[in-house]
Amino acid sequence: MSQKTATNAIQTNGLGKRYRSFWALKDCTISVPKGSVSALVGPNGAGKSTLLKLLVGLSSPSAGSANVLSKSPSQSSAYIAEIGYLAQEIPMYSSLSAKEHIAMGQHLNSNWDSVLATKRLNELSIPLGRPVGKLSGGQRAQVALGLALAKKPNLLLLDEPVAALDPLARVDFLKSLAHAVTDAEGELTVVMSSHLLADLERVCDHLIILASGETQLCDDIDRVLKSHKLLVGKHQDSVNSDDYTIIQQTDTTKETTLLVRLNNNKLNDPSWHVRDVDIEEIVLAYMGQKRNVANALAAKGGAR
Amino acid sequence: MNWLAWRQHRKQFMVAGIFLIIFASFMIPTGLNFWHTYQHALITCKTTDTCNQLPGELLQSNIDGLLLHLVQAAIMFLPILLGLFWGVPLMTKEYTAGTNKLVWTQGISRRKWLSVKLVWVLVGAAITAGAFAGLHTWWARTGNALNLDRFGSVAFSSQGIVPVAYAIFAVALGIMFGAWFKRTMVALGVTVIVLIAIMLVIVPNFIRPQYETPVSYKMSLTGNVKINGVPTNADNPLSNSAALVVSQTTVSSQNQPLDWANPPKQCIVTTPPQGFGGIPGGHTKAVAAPGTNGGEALASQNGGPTINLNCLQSMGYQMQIKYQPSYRYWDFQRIEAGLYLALSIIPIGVTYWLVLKRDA
Repeated sequence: MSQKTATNAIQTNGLGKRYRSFWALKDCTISVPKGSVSALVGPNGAGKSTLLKLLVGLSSPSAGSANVLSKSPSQSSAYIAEIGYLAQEIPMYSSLSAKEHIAMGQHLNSNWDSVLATKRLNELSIPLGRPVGKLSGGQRAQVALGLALAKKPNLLLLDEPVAALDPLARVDFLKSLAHAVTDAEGELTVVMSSHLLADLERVCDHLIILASGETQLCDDIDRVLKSHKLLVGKHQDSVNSDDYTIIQQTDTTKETTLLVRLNNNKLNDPSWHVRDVDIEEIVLAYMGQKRNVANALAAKGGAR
Repeated sequence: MNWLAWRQHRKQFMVAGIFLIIFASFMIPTGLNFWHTYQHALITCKTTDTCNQLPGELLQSNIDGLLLHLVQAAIMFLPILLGLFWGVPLMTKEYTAGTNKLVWTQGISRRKWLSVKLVWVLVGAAITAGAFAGLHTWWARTGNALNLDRFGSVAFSSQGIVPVAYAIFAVALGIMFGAWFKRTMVALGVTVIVLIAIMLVIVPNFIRPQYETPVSYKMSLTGNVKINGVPTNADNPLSNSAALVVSQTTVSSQNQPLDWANPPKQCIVTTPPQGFGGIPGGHTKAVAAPGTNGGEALASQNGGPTINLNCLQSMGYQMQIKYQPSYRYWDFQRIEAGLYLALSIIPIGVTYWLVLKRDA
């Protein structure tokens, strides 16, 4: 366990957050290796923002525990100092300019790189003296990213940073992020939530799927691609096997299609046609599976 | 953090400064002028023995009575305005823009962030209220001398040191409700209602008169009694000082208060004179209309029977006045300021709890 935390930037154990009687996040157990760039995906309301807020210490868990950079999340300045965080709506003081935000960071952080932040924003030709409320969405996001990076964080948590941006600004933002990751030479761990899968594939090497407040999957993207296959075969009633776990099943009168996770990366039954799947298919399958389970539970509850 | 606090709040401090300059440029010349006029009039009136007419003369000619009340009201409402415009937005602005999530994830703890903000805004409010109230206290010395009313509820609340304590309390309360409701309009509404209830209704009417045991004084029922104000009989201790009258009650020789609905039967006037409708009773219990019926003093209250006061007096009834003498004025200022400062601990404590314990 102690060895695990040493190589993981984030390790959570049954982490949960309840608002009154509603669990926004439930039994979330993930491990994020140091230096990885993780995509945190899931439908709206899956608990992505909740998880990120718990990790940065903005809210406190109702259940479970988290270990972030070998510390327990808290409000202490020593804890926050190591983490860069970008909240969902990219909040900034709209009457303050980018320059003033950088000055603010200088006053509030002990470890702060004004020169780097200014240089980054100059390279993007963002007007530093203009109130950030008057900048475009893309420029604001770049300023916010610049501020988060100026802390020289070891962990960067980004909550849907590109959701509100136009495609061009989105590409620019991800480019800046990729640069920052390269510059950090493996010292920076990034967790970025989004529901835009194509964007995430571009920069991420690790995948975390949340649905209905629970972790569905948390693994390296290459491993995920290798272990997930689409099986197509004649319609059959019993499809269960020790070789795989079914994520999604589609039946027609003639055919049965399964999206499965192979348990040992091999399949013994030769009667299936095996096809590779992409990340998007996998993510959608997990989200769909969760919905099916939820529906089934609801139906059961209703019948009782 | 001081940098950010100053950057965020400098505008409101500047606005306060500008208002203070405007206020001072009006108050200083009028205050000087009025004081000189008063001093001058005081010398001349002594030669003609008309000094008792001075209040009427000077307040008519030199300060509009209206102006005096306007200034008093402005100072009285200043703490409430500070609570609404400085206190409430302190947290709601951060919550509605989500900037709390930006600033609370910088390398500074939430506790320190809140402490620095509170110090800046509360000290700023105290200085602002102190400057306005100090100027008004100096300016009002003439009006106080003429009207003998500085212990009255409006004058008391707008002079001396209490406005400083009010401002601290009002701003702290605004901050607390802002942190509580997170939305500006809701917090504004609740803050204004609670502040008016406490500062303009509960404390001046029910709490302040009880800071010290009132002094009691008995006088004749049929004298020259001023209603809801200071009785003017030459022999009574209130006639020449600014006292706070707590109550006026008609009492029997055994100190039993008169039941205005069921007075002694022999004193009820069965056929009240034309046009005598009685005077509606306020919180002071005595009303009198001396000499309205051919030398007889009549009174009634809340639609009760009309009573002959001369008759009541012959039965041993007297007017009992309870009051706080004017020499207690600064005691009362200190007690009330202390009360508000002590009360301020509650909203400040709750604000810390809300900001530190609740999720962002």
